[in-house]
Amino acid sequence: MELLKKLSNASGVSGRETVVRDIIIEELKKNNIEFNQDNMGNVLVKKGNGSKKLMISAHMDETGFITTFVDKGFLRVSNVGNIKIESLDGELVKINGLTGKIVNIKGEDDINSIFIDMMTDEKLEVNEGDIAVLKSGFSEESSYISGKALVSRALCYILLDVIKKSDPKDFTVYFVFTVQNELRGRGARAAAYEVNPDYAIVLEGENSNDYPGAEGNISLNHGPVLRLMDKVLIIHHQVREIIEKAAEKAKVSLQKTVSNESSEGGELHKEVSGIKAGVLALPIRYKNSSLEVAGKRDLEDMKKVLLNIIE
Amino acid sequence: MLLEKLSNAISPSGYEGEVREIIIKEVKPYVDELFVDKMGNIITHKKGKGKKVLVDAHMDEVGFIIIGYNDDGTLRFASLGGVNDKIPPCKVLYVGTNKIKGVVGLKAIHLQSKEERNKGIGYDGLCIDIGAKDRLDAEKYVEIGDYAVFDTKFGCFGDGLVKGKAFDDRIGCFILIEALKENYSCDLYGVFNVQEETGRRGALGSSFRINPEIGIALEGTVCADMPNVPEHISGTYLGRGPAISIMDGTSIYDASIREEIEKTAKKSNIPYQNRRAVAGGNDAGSIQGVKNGCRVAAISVPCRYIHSSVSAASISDIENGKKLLIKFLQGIVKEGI
Repeated sequence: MELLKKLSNASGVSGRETVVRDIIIEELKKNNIEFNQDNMGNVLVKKGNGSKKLMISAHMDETGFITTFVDKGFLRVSNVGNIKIESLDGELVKINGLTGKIVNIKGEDDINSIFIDMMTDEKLEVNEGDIAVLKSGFSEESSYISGKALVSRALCYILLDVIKKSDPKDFTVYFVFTVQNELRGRGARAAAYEVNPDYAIVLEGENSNDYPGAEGNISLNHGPVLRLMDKVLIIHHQVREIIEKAAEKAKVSLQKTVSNESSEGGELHKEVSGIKAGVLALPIRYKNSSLEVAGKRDLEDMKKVLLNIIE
Repeated sequence: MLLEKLSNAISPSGYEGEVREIIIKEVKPYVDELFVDKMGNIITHKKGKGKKVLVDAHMDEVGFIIIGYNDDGTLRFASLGGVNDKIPPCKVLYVGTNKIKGVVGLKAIHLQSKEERNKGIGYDGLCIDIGAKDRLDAEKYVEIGDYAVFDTKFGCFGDGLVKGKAFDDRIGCFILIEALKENYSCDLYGVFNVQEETGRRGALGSSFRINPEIGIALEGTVCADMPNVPEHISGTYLGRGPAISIMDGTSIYDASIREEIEKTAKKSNIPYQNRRAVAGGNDAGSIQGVKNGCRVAAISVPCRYIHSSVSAASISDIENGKKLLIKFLQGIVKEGI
């Protein structure tokens, strides 16, 4: 969990994934695992010698803000990736090691209606183009974990663990840590072209609706989510069979959903001459907020399913 | 003057022939290879041993396409690329290859409904008057599918400013043409693309073929430095130098290349500004979005009143944009950038 804590607390907004990538690379090196870094900044690990190629991806980036104007002690920003702007009022952000407070006085869903108060009258060491990220802290309870960017980092953590433990039999497996997921999966698209896999499984986060007033059927610690369809991808039936068979073997129950979200699977499955793809997701409460919550059993179950797919 | 020739050329998206001829004539003596690909893009190559770099400018401009006739002989039309429907009324257009003059009419204010007064007439309600007697007469001069562009002529005004149409992206074309006249150690592809304004389509094909390591888009870009626009949403300012993009709708620009461009500017005393807007998009999105992708940057010249019948730009911004690109390309000699 120390590794997940480090990953979750690291800043890695889309296009600026360096810190997260460095943690992942350090971990790979520590375990003597060979890797490649491509043009876009994706990290690829190849294992096994099977006749069919399987790509499993988790993204390194999170949503955040990019500075567009510095007005003495105040910053104007644009969002990087989709963020619910009307609910940001009062959130704290980190930028260049400094702390700021987001103010959205009118509560409007318009990025031009917010500013960041850096709470200083001294000259700011912030330039146009600098990145801000929601400020948060990771914590671990008996059955839950909470922190920011779990939708990205919990999946990177799972993928790292699976890389270390797996010994692929039937597949040549490409584990890919992707960039720019929150910007319509630009990193995954490029990696998919390079790898040109027979099958691709995209690891994602799925909104968990097990709290008062929420609608939906996804709960924490009830198993990984098999996305039958989302806004940009319909799961390929062979990928669905691969995942369901592995879950059965691992004695893990899957939750199933038709999701109203997107994933990098959308761009990925249209690459080259088409790629059979599907999304396996980790249930996450309060997705893309400064404090996301995930279930520890789901994390372990997801690893079990992936290991069973590979072996 | 080359920019004048480029700006006055009539080449809306899908019909880039006229500007293509000008560019080919201009750059041919300075490049090792030159050809026109299937989409109509001009691909030029200056061979080098360093990194493979693609520099892009798009040849097309926003314009219109004729989609039908009215019984009175006026023409119905749609936009090619994004032109706000409040722009065309009361402007003169050139229609088709024969450059037939047409006037876009607008009914008098007292005849407009309340909604039309507030929202404008919209393309459905606008038409081009070419002086035809009736439908049959109009059919003699104009075919469905003919294009139309504003009749704006290039000119100088004020203190070092130029005005004209199609600055987006003939200014980019101008800078790329001038840059191709210099020598570099990187393996340089200068590409003049078609159909940027209709969804960055031309750049997909040329980038797929070249598959560069670094992609640079040259643009004419938004500049809302007007009295009633707050500074934080103005995008750029005229006269403050070429604008370096940080992010837009189609790319988040590579931080290390951006830094390198900034360093180049500072070292060579070239003024520059950041493009403080994230709206819009350009060919960089297409360059990055094919094959295994690449790192991208964009250098733009601010253009007031962009995507309208007439834009204004600063000669010093154009010259500094040219200098910045040339110095940056000459600096790409080693690994690391």
